[in-house]
Amino acid sequence: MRTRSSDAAGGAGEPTDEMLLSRIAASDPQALEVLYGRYKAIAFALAARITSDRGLAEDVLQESFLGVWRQAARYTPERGSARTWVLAIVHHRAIDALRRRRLTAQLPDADVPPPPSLQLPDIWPEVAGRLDREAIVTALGSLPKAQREVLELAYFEGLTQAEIATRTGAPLGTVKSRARLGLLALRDRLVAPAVIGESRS
Amino acid sequence: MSRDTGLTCEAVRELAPLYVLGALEPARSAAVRAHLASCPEAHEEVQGLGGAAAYLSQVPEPLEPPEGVGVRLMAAVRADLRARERDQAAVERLIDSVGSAGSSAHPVRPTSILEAPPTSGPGTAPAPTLAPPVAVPSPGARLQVARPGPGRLAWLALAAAVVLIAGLGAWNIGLRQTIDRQTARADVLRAALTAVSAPGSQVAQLKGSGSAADASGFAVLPAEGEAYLVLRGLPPAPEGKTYEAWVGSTSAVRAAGLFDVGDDGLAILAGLDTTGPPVRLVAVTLERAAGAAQPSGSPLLSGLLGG
Repeated sequence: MRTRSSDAAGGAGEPTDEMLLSRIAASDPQALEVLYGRYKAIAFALAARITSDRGLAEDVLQESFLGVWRQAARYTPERGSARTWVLAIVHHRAIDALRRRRLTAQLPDADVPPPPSLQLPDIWPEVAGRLDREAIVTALGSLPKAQREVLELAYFEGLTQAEIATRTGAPLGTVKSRARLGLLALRDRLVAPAVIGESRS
Repeated sequence: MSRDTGLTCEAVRELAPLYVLGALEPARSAAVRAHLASCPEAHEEVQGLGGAAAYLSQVPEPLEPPEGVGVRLMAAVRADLRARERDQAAVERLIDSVGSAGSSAHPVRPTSILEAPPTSGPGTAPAPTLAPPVAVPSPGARLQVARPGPGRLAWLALAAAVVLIAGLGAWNIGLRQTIDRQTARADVLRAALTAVSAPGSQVAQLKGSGSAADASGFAVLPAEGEAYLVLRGLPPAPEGKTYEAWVGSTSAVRAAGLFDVGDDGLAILAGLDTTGPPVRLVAVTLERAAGAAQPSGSPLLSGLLGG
């Protein structure tokens, strides 16, 4: 994957995500600009998908990278890749924005369709990235429906475990195990089996 | 800094899938995050599942944001950088002003805390007792004159505090969680500064040595209420480590609390534990995350209070 910095992006003069984060931690604004350029399209698409609101998604994007700027010193490679860390911040802020808006607007969240404007032509900068994305979409689509539903309700709709249980009519324990199985299956389908590291105790 | 989150490693493993998907209630999610921040275990399962969740972020078709977002972002970043520099200067003025008032505040040689008994005690000097911020004559208060004039010092400290607290606010526009945390931090700082200015407070200027030569700060032990430690110039504690404060004398110290460095570069320990025999020395070491009963090495910073 292009931006999976540890194994890619090592070419002439192109710093890895991890290198950029350590420069950001040392208060280098240019490093943040480069990192933003690398992730803005994925991050904006994610925020727009979650919030279903372009204006709110812009705010989320800006806040997220301001958060990256301020918290870069907190990043530790032992806890995962820089890519995972950055996208987790975007996801967290988007969900947070969505929940806050639900609280104020009391929107019936289930009935908000994604705006058609989001179905834009592919502007993914790299062919490799595009293939990755297609592989991910395919892998997600191949999961059992019940697992996929839990992943989507949690990750994109911002529902809590209790809300997912209510929505799907499944017991809480089932929601938990579906989330785990879905994530593991997704990873198994996308990662070479030799790399898998989770101990399944 | 929550080191005891009430979650076991097993519970965190159980919650990991919902945690990485963002499907935990905010309080539970915060508890998992706090556990991960302080747990010596690697928790690779969270990392692995987090990577899987990150795949989901690529499911939406990538979408180019308007140019304006990047422009606003970089403007905010540059403003943040300027505020950070201002705050740094304010903290330095503050620490310098507190330190310069303590006539009995000396840096302690790193070895003396652990090995050599002191050849000359600091107890001969009077406690640096500081005036309340408004220097109205108050016959009841025992005001010992420290240099510079206590009123002037208090004003300096408060002015610096105002700048600092304003700066803390400016760092955090739009970051609700950080604002909450930083507001609480600003309150703690304000309390520490009020304690510095209170009658009967003892203040020690702490100076760094060795690898922490650039670090400095102060400890304040008020006559009543919580004691505080405020430091700048320390890097965040490495993974699996924590800073630990020690109080006591130059011949024996006891553990007084664990702390880490905040996002603003300041380390603030509220509730420095000063129970026990009178405190004449305050010191800081780096220890394993759970803390230690005895310092494992020479202090990174140390300073003496008046006897």
